[in-house]
Amino acid sequence: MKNLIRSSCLVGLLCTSALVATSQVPILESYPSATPTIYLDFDGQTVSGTSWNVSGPIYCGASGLSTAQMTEVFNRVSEDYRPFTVNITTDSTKYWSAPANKRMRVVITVTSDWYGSAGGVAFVNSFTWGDNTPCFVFSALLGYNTKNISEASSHEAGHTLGLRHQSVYNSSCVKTSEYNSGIGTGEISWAPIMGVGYSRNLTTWYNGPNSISCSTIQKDLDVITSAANGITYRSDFSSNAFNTAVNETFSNDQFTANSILVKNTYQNYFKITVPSLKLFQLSAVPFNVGSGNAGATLDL
Amino acid sequence: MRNLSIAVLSACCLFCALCSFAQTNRSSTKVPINEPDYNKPKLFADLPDQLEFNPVNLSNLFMLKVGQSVDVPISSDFNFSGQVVSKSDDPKSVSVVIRSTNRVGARLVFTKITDADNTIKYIGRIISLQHGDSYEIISVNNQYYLKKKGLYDLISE
Repeated sequence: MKNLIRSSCLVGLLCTSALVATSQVPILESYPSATPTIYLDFDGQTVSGTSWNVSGPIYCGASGLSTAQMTEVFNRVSEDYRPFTVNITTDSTKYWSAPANKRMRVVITVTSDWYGSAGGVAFVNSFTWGDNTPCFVFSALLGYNTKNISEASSHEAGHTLGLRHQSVYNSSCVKTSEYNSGIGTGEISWAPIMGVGYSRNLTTWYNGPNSISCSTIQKDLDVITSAANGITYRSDFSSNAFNTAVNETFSNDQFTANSILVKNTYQNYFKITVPSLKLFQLSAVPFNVGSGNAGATLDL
Repeated sequence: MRNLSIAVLSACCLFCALCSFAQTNRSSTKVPINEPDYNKPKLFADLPDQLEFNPVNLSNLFMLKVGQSVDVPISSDFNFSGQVVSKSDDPKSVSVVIRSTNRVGARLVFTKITDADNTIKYIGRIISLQHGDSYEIISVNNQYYLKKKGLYDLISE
């Protein structure tokens, strides 16, 4: 009997160990009706038969992130891709049900020794290859930092959609940095997603010289929405014309309205009828994941 | 004494479990950012920018097993010798990866994709992370070519 109790205790502990060691991946989707899919793969993956394989299969461990951290990474990456008809998901079944040449697996993993020291790596244009070649983000080398991992995930997924780096050149057209690291400090600091935005709060898609030359202006939005990728701009947002704005409904003297500012040239219109002549306060807040508008892609 | 041993063992198991899960959110970690090396040596300098080839002639590569050696006659100018190091047998996307022995550092990835309408297409590339040049399979009007590309036209961090 004693042995049975001891064995049960040990088995129980081992089971607990196994459960604790693997965090539950939250099942999330940013835009379920979209066909093109970017799958954030947090739970490890064995990669075979791809251009990454130099000497056999690559056994990628899980991301090492907690469920809350995975959710934050999902929210940050989703916000970067919010203007587009692409589904950011943590659900492998959504990846497998998407057309092979309209999907990308972003393997977020602690395992990087097979490649070397980098935040992540991708094949340019591989989103449309149709052969299940993934891209990688190396969570341990990024310090398990959710901001860094999110930036790298959007960046590497961007490469697979055909984007090159946003680079910096001097007045003589000599490249001074492969990566545009942006400007500013604090909440309004900014960098291009396809540059390097680890130390900037606000990161956006950008029109700027890419890594080819100072005169090769890469319009990130145009590349992402190229016909080959099958990605377009979303249209399910609030009115973009004055005369078609929908009247917002007040409840307890308040109203809340959400929308997507799809493009830098777009406008959103909301119609409100103030119920009485009182002090009126209007707050416009970009989507964010924490204080100081962390993770915002919009400067308001 | 036995109970004590079991208690210690149990505590160790719990400690290991917690350690394996724990990670530090190190915001101060220096993130590795690498400037590309555009001066890497060229591996295919002796070969033309574009090579015509017939992928159907290479279909038998998909039958090879991991570990097998093979000579791939890509064109009259270019024979790729190597060993199969990886394969993928997804029914809609069959791939074989061959590590070169005569162009050291390079691997040939050759993939046959069957679309939903049973159309077959071939994609692939020859790439070496140690070298600045590579080849990619392209198709123009149903004719396949290997087209030379810079390493950083294919891969990016």
